[in-house]
Amino acid sequence: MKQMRANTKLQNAYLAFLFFLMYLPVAIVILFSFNESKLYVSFSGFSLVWYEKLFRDSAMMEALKNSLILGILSCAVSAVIGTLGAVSLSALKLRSKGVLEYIAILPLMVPEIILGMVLMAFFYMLKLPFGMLTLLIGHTVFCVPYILVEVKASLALMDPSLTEAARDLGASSWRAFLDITLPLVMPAVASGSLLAFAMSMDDVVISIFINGPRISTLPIKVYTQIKTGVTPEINALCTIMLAVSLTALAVFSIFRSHKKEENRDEEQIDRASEPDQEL
Amino acid sequence: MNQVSLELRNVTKRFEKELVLDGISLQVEKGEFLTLLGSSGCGKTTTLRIIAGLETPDQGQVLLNGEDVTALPPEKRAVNTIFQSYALFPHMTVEENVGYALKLRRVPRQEIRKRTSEMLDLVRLSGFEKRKPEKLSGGQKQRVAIARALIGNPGVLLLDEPLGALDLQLRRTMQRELKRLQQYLGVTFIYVTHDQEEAINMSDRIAVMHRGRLEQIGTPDEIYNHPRTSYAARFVGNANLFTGMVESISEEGAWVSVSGGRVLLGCPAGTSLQKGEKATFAVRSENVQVLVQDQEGCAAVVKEKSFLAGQLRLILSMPDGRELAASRFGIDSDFEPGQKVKWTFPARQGVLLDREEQNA
Amino acid sequence: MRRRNRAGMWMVLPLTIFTLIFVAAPLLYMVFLSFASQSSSGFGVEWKFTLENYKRILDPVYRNTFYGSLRLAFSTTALNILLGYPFGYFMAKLSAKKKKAAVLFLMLPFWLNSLIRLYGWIILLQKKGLVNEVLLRLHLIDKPLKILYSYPAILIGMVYVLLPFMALSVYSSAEKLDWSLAEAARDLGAGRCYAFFTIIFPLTLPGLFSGIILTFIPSMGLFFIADILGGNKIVLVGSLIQEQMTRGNNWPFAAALAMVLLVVTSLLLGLYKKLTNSDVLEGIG
Repeated sequence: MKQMRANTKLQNAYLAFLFFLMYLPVAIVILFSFNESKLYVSFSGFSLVWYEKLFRDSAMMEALKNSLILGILSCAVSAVIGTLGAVSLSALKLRSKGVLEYIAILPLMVPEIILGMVLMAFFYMLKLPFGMLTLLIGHTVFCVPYILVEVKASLALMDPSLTEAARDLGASSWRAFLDITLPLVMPAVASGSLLAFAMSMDDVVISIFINGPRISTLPIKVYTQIKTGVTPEINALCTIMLAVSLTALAVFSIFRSHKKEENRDEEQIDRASEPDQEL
Repeated sequence: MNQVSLELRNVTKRFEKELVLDGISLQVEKGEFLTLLGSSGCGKTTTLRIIAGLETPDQGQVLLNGEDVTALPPEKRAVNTIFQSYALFPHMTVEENVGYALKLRRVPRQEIRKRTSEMLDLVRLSGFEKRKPEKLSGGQKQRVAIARALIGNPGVLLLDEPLGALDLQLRRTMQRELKRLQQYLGVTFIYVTHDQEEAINMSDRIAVMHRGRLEQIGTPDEIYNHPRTSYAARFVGNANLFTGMVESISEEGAWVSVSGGRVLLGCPAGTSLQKGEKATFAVRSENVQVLVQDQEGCAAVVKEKSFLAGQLRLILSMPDGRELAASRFGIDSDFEPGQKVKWTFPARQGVLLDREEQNA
Repeated sequence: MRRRNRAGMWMVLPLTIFTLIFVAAPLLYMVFLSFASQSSSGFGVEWKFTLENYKRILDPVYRNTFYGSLRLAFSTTALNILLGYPFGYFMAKLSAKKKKAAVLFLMLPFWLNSLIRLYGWIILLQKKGLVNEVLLRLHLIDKPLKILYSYPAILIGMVYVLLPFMALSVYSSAEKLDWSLAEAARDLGAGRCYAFFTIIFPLTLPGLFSGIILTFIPSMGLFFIADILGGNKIVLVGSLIQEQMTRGNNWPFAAALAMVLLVVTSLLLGLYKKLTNSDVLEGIG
C-alpha cells in the first residue's frame, strides 16, 4: 500500500513546475537587465549599460529617493504609533479597545483601491496639498496594522508580571515600558517595520491616488513606464528593487530565527534536571 | 509587643461584580514570617498584590510602618515581591537583574556592583553574574529573584507561591534557605501558598483564607491543633468534622451524640456549652482510635483500607452514611473492610469549632 | 487598576487619534460622499442627498462592468483553486526539510514587488517573447499568438499574483492534518480517492475557504493588472473607480461604486466567519 502522506513523482513534478512558473518572470527580468541588446528575443551578451542609463536618469533617481524617504519615514511613524498602541491595548482593560483594534486593522482588509480613493477624497476635503505629506499619511495608514499585529503577537507571549516586577522594584510605568517592554518587543517591532517597509516600497494602488502631480515614487514610475513602453532600463530598476526587497527579507528572517533560537534554549533548560547544589 | 510592620484595615476588592476580598484586616510584626494559606481563588494572591500596590482596593487601607500607602503606586512602596513566575528580565544578565532596583535609585555603578555581588553571595549564586536567565535552572532563577527583591532592603518581602514550580526535593531545600535568609536579614515575609506543609514548616503565623475572608490567624500550632472553623480544620490536616447535640455536661467535658453513639468532648475552660445545644467539632484522623466491636465507643463499619506515605488509613462508614478517616503509622492492622468496629478519641483531641460557624 | 489605566492612557492616544482621523473618518466620509451629488459645474461635490449614484450602477454599462469584474474574480478564484489546492496539499506532504524551503519560496513573492513580477510576464508574453518562441520551436503553432493585451493575459496575471495566497492557505491547513486519520481510513478499506475526499478534503476546507477569500477579494480591486496586461481593453470596477476619481471627476459615483465593492467584500468575510467560526484567516500571520 502506497502511503498517502508522501508525494508521488508526478506530484513532486507538479510542485517543481509551478515554482518554476512562479520565478520565471522574475528570472527573466533579472537576466535581461544585463542584456546588451534592446530586444528580448535572446541574450546577446553581458552588459551594464542599462544600469548606467538608469543611474543617469535623474527623474528615476528622484523617484528612488522619494520612495526610500517615504518608506523609512512611514515605517518610523508607524513603528511608534503601532508599538505604543499594541502595548497600551494589551495593558488597558477598556471595553472600547476591541473596536479600536478592529478599525486599526481595517486597512489590511479593505481593498487597496477603496483605501486609495477614500484617502484621496478625504485629503482633498481637508485641503491637504497632495505630495510627500499625503503619501506619508497614506502609507502610515496601511503600515500601522502590520506593526500592530506583530507587536501584539509578541506581547501575548510575554509574561505580564515582568513589567509588574519592574514597577515593584521602583520603576515608574514609563520607565518600566522603556526598560522592560520595549527591549522585549523590539524584535517584533523590527520585523513588523521591515514588512511595512516592503509594503511601502511595493505600493502603487494607494500611492497613485494621493501622490499629486509633482511627486512620484519608484513603483509609480515603474507602473507608468510599463504602461507606456518596455525598455530594458526598467529591467535594471526592477533588479535593484528586487535586491532591496531580498535584503529586507534576509534581515527580517534573521530577527525571526533569532527569536526562535532563544525559545529553544529555554526549553532545553526546562527539560534538563535541576543541578541545584545542596546547601 | 514588637513594632507593627504592615497593617491591612478592612481591605475589600471586587473584580467585575465578584467579591474577591471581603474585609481583610490583619497586622504583621516587624521580622515576622506570615503565611497566607488557602486554596486557589481564596484571595491570597490578590491580597499580596494589594500590599505591593499592583491592585487598588475598593475599600480599606494598607499601612506600612504606620503610614497609609493605599494611594501610592508600587514603585513608591518599600515592599518587594517575588513573583510566581520569577519574572526575571530575560534580556538582562543575572547581575543586571539583581542590580536593577539600585540602578533605578541612581546608586553609583561601583556600589551597585559591590552590593550585587554581596547579594549573589548571600543566595549562593556567585559566579553567575554574566549569565542570562534562560541559562539558569529553576532553582537558580528562584535565587536570582530573591536576590533582586532583597537588594533594595525592603521592609516587607512578598512571596507569591515562590516554590510552586520546583520539584519536591528542591522545594524542601529552598524552604530552609528562605527561612535562613529571613532570620538573617530580619525582613518581614508575607508568603502565599496553598501547601499546608510549607506553611507549617516556615511560618511564625499562618492566616487561613477562604472565599475572600480571613478564617483564622495564628501560630502553626494553634492552626493545626486548635482550628476554629471547619474550613481551617479540613484544609490544615484533613480533620474529620462532626455536628451533634450536647446530651449532658459533666466534669470531664460534654457528651455529644453522633451517629452510632456518643463521644466525650473535653471542653477548654471558658467555652460554655449547654445541654441541648448543637456543637460542631473536629478530630484529626491520627487521633481517631479504632477498636474491636466489643469495646466501648461509637459503632461503624470499615469501608476501605489503604496505605499512604507510611500510614495506614481506614475509612469508616457511620450508620448515617457519613464517612470518617482514621490513620496511624505502620502497616499492620487487624481490621478488614466489612468488619464492624467501634471508634473513639481522647476527649482532649476533639476541637470545638466557633459557634458562628455552626449557624452558617 | 484605575492608576494603571491613567498611565497607559496617553500611550494609546497616538493610535486612537491616528486611526480615528485617517481610517475611520475617511471611510465614513466615503459613505456620505456616496449619497452626495456631483456638482452641476461638473467639478466638485454638492452636498445634496441623492440615491442617483446607486441607481446609476444599475445602468447597463456599469452593471456590465460589475458583471465583468465578478466574472474575472470568479474565473481567477476557480483557476486558483484548481492550481493552488494541489500546490498547497502536495507541499504539506514534503519532507520537513523540503517543506521549509518550499514555504520560503512561496512566501518570497510577498516581498517582491508584484509589478516587477507582472512585468516579467509582459516580456514573456510578447509577440517575440519566450512563450511564443518556445511554442513555435515545438511546432505547436505556426505564427506567434497575440496573448498580451487580451483577456487570457489578465487572467494569467491575476492567477499569478494571487496563487501564493491560495497555496499558502491550503498548505497551513493541510500541514496540521493528522495523517493517521487517512491511514486509518485506508486501513479500513477506503481507496486512495475515497480516503482523500472523505477525510482529508473536509479537514482542509478552512484553508480552502480562506484561500478563496484571500484571492476573491483582491481580484475585485486589482485594477492595475488589467491595466498593464490587458491594455485598457477590459474595464473592471477598480479601473472604473480610478477613472471616476481622476478623469471622470465624479467622486460621489466613485464612492458609491466603492461602497458596493466594500459591501460585497464584507459579506464574503462574514460568510467565511460563519463557515469556519473563526476571525483569523488561515495562513496569515
